[in-house]
Amino acid sequence: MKLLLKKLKTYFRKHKANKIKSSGKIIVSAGLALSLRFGEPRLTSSRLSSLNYESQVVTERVILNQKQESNSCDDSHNSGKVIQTGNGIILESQQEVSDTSSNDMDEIILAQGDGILPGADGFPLNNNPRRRHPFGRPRMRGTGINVDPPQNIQGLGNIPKAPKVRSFREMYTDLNARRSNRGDQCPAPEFDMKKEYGNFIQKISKKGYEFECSQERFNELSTNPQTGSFDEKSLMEAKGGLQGEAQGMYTNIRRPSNKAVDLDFEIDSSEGYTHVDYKTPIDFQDLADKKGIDVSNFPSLETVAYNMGKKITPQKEQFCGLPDGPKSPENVLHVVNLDLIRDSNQKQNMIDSVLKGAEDKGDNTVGIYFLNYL
Amino acid sequence: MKNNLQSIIGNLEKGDKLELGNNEKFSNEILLNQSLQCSVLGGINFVNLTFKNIDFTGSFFSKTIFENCRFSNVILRKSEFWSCTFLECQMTGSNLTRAEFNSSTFKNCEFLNSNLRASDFMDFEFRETIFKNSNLDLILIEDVKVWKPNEWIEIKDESDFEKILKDMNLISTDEMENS
Repeated sequence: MKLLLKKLKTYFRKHKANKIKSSGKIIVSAGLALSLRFGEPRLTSSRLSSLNYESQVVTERVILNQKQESNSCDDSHNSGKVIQTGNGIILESQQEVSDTSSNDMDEIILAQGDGILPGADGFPLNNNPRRRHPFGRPRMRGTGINVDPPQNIQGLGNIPKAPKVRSFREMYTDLNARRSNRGDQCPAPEFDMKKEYGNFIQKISKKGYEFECSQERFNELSTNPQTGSFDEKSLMEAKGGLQGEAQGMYTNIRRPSNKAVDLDFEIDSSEGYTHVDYKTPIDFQDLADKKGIDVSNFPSLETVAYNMGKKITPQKEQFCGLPDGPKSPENVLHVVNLDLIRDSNQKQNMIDSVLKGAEDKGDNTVGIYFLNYL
Repeated sequence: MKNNLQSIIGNLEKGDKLELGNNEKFSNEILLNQSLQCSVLGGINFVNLTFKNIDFTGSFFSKTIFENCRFSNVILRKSEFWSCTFLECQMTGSNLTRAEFNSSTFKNCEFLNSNLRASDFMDFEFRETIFKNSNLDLILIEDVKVWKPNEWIEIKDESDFEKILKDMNLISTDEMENS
């Protein structure tokens, strides 16, 4: 062991000067050598420090100047190489990205807030006692079934006024900026937003709604407020959200101003709703028919819908009392978008199940709307 | 021929989602830097897989077993898990905000620097699972059990959950360890 450490020290001394200064710093972790030598799964930083090596050391990480495997879908961080040793230890090599030469803004996207992904890049840990309901636990109102009938029917409701235009800040999306926006290195999915917008407008007019929405606003609503970029889920939410607005369920739909209020949108509503959350169940039978997957590996849609209904009640309370959050559960609207469900009988069964779940859980089915239910 | 998850993903065309549901097993693979949002996976068995920098936002997992898997910087935000088992798994720096877990189990798992804020656990079992520097704020709990050596403890509500886990030293932060 001592001999090995000595060899390592000698190696580092020899290679320190000419390798660390280059843009692709080459730093060899003692962890790799020790792990390879002894098959030890982890090496703590305190043990590493005993090597008395003053350069930057990344535990279990070897940084080599080499290209990553071709399987990466994002060249911007195409530098990590992972080695799996015989005993299952994962060793990773990665070229540090220090090339900041391309600071030019290659595109601008619209985003709100700081666009930092919570959790993926070390969210601020809440060390305070729980503040689930800082202003006291809100009370649920009403009992029995009450589904706000007029709003549940497609085609009713006035065409909303032109939406307010929100202010944005420009966000640079060059390599490094994009990376920081997304936390660490998860690749951002790519979308042709012009095409998505065109398809949406076409679809909504086919459904018979006259609706004005600019590409800019469509993009803004399709932006995940937690990451500052477009993604599949937020795009789906935006399409449902805008359709809800087109149907007169509410007006002025926009992403939450406070990211801590992790509901899908803020809205204005004569019914007193200030926030809306969208649920878009998947049609497993459709997948089975199209992709040949075994539908028995999935829960029935009635079960999914029943649990969804059960969860809606506590979810209405979840963000109450937070700054810019809903004041009470009655201010939170849940919309179940049945757009992906093919069979209309199935849609009806799901509606029944959602309402049954909500009723069983909280004796309350107020504030649940359905979209595309015919 | 043995199926390889990497090649399946590689064969996806632009705009395709990862949709698998035929009792497949994937083992000893390393999956890096992929955007697999809104995937649908049913009846899959993952053994000894490493997921690093993977975005599974809004995905649906059913009857899926993750055994001895490592998740590093994986986004499972707004994903749903139905009848899934996580066995001997480690999640590091991962985002599970608003994930929903139904009739599932974590057994001998480790969450490090992971964010489970506002996630939802219904009919769920925690067995010897630890959370270090992880955010469990605003989680919702219904019909959840925690295994205390020799017995299951039923959790009544969210505050009980955190208290019981802390009492069993299953939740810790660096600050707690330093004090």
